[in-house]
Amino acid sequence: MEITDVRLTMYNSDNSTELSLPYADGGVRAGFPSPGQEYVNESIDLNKALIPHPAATFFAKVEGLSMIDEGIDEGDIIIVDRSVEPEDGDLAVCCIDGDFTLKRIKISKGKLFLMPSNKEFRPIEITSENEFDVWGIVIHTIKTNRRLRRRL
Amino acid sequence: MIGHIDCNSFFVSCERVFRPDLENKPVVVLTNNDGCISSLSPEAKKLGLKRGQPFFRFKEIIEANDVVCFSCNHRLYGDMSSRVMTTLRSIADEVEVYSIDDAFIMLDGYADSELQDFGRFVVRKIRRDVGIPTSMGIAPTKTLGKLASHFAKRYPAYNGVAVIDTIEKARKATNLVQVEDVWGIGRRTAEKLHRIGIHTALMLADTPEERIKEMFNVTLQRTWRELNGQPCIPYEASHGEQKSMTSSRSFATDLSDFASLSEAVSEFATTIARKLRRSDMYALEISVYLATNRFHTDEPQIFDSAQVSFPEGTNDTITIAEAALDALKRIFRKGYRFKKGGLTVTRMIHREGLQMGLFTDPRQRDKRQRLMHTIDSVNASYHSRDIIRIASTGNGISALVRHDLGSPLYTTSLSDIITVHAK
Repeated sequence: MEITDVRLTMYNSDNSTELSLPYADGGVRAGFPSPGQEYVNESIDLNKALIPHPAATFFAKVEGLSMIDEGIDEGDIIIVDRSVEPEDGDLAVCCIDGDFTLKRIKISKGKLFLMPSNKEFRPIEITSENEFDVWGIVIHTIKTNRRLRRRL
Repeated sequence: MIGHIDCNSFFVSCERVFRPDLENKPVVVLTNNDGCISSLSPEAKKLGLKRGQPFFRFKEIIEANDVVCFSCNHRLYGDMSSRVMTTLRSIADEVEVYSIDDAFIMLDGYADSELQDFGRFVVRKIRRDVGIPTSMGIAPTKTLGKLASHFAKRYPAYNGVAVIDTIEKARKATNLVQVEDVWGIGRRTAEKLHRIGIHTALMLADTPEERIKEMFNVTLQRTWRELNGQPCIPYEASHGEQKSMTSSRSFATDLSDFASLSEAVSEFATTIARKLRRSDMYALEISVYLATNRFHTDEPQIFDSAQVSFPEGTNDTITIAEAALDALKRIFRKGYRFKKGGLTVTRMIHREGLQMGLFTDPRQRDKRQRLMHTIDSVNASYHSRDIIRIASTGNGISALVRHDLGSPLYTTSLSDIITVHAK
């Protein structure tokens, strides 16, 4: 049996290498600037990194167990982008007969299925009987791994 | 050419984005104190419900047809509106936000044959990205553009986009519109027009210009030109440079005692001060007004207002509230039942133009600014707007204003986001 390790890539701030300045510097300055000054305002902005289309992005909370095999648990928060064109295999928030449901979209032989990721659930076939709409595509899942404890 | 984008039943549409079960069902959103209908779905319109009418008048229809009613959720609508406008800005270079639910975009550089397709693209994009259905009118002037979007909304055959690009089309459209429904024509002007036999927008457009000049003001002359296809109302990049700001309200019940009115006025001051701080503006003069209920003809009637000027610009809640209460004392009279009140900033200035008074202690001033900042950030982090209030607001006007049927803050509060079932 093959055992694969979970690998984590850590991003440390590394000041040992030199970065060339990405922007042209045309101004004339009095005094000698600190070499670190140019980087002072650089930091990781998760909004920018995770939300490419803010006007079309909504958050939702997951309830139910039908997606647990791909690690989506109850209470997870999903980031939903409505501007993304749905494709075969996308994880999507779907509206079916007025209800929100979270499933993978599968297109097979001209038929549309909503696929669970839990063997105890069955795929749902969408027919013309259903009122159906892909509300948005899930682009990220936020999990809280260390539950916040209430201080006594 | 100019495009006018109008959100369909905007408040109702905002609610429906998060409640897909309400699609195709009659839905209404009520005004602040749940008194009147402020937005309604086409299904509710078909039942005979009307915008601006008191809610209770339709109680039977509402109950018999399971009409879903919401109190207005201004934070949700404000957020959805900025999503619509941001989406428009991603498509067009020049976007003029006209109100919470409509905007103009400039369409220079498009061939006439491309306009229809482009319009469809805009409508589809907003529906897809934000979830809000819109109608778009495309025409040579803003006034005709507004008219066109109205047609696009009213007649499904347009598929959401109506283009007025020929004189024939303009004549056909204006012939179907009454003067009072033309953008920029008020009730009084409309009455005057009807009296002299001008009933439709086409009749107005066909009236000789000299006659219009003779009888009406500059505003109507502009409207006349716009109806004739000559652009007169220029593109305005932002309506952000406001000249005044108002916080006002109809009270849930008529108020006759000074204590309740001072609570209401303090609440107006709190709202206004927060608005000023948010836009880096400072009030130089405020005006407070009170009005009795003009429908209660058997009761004594009064409308009065009082102004207070500030020696230097301020956006401090406490300073503004003190001044507002001072103004209230001057206009309050016993024996009257007040229906409506408000506070308007009549003169204001941006921070950059601010001059500090000669006798101000800068340290004292900084301290107050920090206090206001803290209040704003605490209040912003909670669902309800004002956790921290100044003492004179008591429980705030929310005690006087009913909010029985409010929907969650789906887009601005993490505890209110939608739940998706993985079942």
